[in-house]
Amino acid sequence: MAALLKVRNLKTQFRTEGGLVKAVDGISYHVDEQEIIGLVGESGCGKSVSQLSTLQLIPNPPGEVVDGEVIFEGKDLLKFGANGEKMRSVRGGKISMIFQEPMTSLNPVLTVGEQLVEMLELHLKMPRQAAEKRAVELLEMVGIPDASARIDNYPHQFSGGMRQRIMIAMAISCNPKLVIADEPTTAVDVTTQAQLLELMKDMVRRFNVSLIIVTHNLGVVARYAQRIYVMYAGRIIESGTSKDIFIDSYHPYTVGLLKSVPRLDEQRGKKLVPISGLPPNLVNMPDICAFRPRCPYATQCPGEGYPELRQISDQHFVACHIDFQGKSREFYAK
Amino acid sequence: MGTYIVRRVLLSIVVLLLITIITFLLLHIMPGDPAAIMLGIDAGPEQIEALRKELWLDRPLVVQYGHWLSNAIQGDLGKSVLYDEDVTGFITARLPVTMHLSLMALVLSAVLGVGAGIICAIRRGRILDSVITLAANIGVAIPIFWLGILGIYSLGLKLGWLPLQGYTSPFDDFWLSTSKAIMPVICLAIPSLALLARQTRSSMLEVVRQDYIRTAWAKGLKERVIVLKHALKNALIPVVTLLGIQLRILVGGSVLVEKVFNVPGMGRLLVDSVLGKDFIMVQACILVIALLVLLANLLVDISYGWLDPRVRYG
Ligand SMILES: Nc1ncnc2c1ncn2[C@@H]1O[C@H](COP(=O)(O)OP(=O)(O)OP(=O)(O)O)[C@@H](O)[C@H]1O
Ligand SMILES: [Mg+2]
Repeated sequence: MAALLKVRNLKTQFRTEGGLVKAVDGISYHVDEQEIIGLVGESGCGKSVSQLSTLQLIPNPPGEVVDGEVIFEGKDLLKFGANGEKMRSVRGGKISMIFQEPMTSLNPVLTVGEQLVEMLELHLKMPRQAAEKRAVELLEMVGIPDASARIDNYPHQFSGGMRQRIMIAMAISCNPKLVIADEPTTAVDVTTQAQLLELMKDMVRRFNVSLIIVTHNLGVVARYAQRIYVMYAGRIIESGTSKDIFIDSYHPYTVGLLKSVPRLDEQRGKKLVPISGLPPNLVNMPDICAFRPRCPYATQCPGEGYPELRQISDQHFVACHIDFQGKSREFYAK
Repeated sequence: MGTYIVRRVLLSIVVLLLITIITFLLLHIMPGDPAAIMLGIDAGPEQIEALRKELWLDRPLVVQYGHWLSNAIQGDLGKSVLYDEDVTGFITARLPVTMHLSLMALVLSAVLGVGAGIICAIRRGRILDSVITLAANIGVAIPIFWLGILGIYSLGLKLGWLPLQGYTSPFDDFWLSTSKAIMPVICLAIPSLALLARQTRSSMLEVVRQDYIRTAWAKGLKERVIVLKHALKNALIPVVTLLGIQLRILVGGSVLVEKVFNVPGMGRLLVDSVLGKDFIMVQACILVIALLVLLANLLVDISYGWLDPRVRYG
């Protein structure tokens, strides 16, 4: 399948009082047409920043995309002026985003109808009346009961789950090619979370769009993503198919992540093992493997400098100095 | 929205009743016998007694209040002790003057203040922002009467561009009226303008950091739409609160400005009546000013409801 989005060596930095924060430090990934991919990592590892960077939505100052390419439909989005006509027609029109906080991501003083209609008018050039009609249809589609009446309601009159449904309706409203869902289900309860994910999957199928699910919860992507990228401290440290990540996980961080989440296919009573230590502070990072301070194999690690991503099977890439394929994990764990 | 307005209006009526009680009591809270104070030390006991009768001061307080209120509703606020004329006549002559100047000052400060605040927020950290912010800080600190005297001296006396003082109704001579109004209006407007600019700037800066503004950018909207449609309505909520307070400050400002520019408005009437111990007039002035403030607050509350649906449905 053809790649819809190809990100190469993306680097985003923030100038802060504490120093230079390399929030995203040279990541590369691609999304194929109609593909669902997962972007996983601990809080603060740069997931949101990377996604905002591709649409040039990083507030500058303090942030800046300092390097990289974001090739979408054959054009480098980073070459477009940040808030120019071309960039704006991509935002919401071809690539749309769903954000983490349903409570604060909708404008409290505008009706949900207005917030939908303005997008339809802008990108699809729909006349007002047609746009209003379409907005009702969209709300019905994402499961808002009594949509024709609720279109005139304000965000505070909906529950968190409902608001996230409205965000989903907005995201698909202008027939985009790609939807980026940044932790779309973090702020809602587990049942709602499952419903929202199913809804997103349905929408993706129905409208033939690609989806990036950004999350710190591996469980969320397990069911839906075809390929997964694992991020740590601003870089991608492992990527591959779902099977590569969940069954043949290679990087000690990925292995640790999997041990720290409950799994349905495991025996009850098995202990969850949190990864020891804390994620590194991204200010003034030394040029070594960022996971080294927390790595259980650190004393055996042969490498110096930052490990580059290397291919270990067809789609499976990993950034680790240790060759676990040559010798067993137990050997290094001593 | 309808029920919200009705609720606010009903509440205002309750407050209105409280205001009338307090203004009525004003005459009685003051130490000593009002009639004796009004007439001064030369007055004999019969004179005082006569005035007490005339003012119903010899009746029970409740009866007095009822009498005073029913008169007030019919537009009779009593007779001035100083001029021996109906107070209402003075007020209907003076009120439009103050309203004219204050409303112009209010519109000027609201439009320019909010506009300047938006520009600062958009151009944050640039030269224009620094210049406006500095000017606003000076504007907040500047004493009105000093500014007025400076204006009279430079623009009036030295340069001769504007009339020194006084007031002309715009219906009599529009241009003369406007040229006379310029300096008092500017003096009245500057403190509010500066405060509003600062408030708009800071609340805009607060709002543009919010998640829903990020959503608006992610939708591909133009900066102009994001600022004027998505951000401004939210940012105006605290600004409107301040505007409500400004209305009250404007009343205080009128007292000073009308004195400095010799404008025959409510503010000066109030000051002159206090100095002349014309308590009936003072009472009437305070009642009218309180009514105006009440009305202004009602408008502020209604615009709150218009701006913020959470208030409207709350
Ligand atoms: N406006 C900003 N100014 C300074 N630093 C920032 C800013 N925004 C993000 N960062 C830094 O960039 C890093 C990555 O942040 P990001 O929001 O991408 O994390 P995340 O992986 O999305 O985490 P979460 O799971 O909590 O959403 C963080 O360490 C953060 O400190
Ligand atoms: Mg995030």
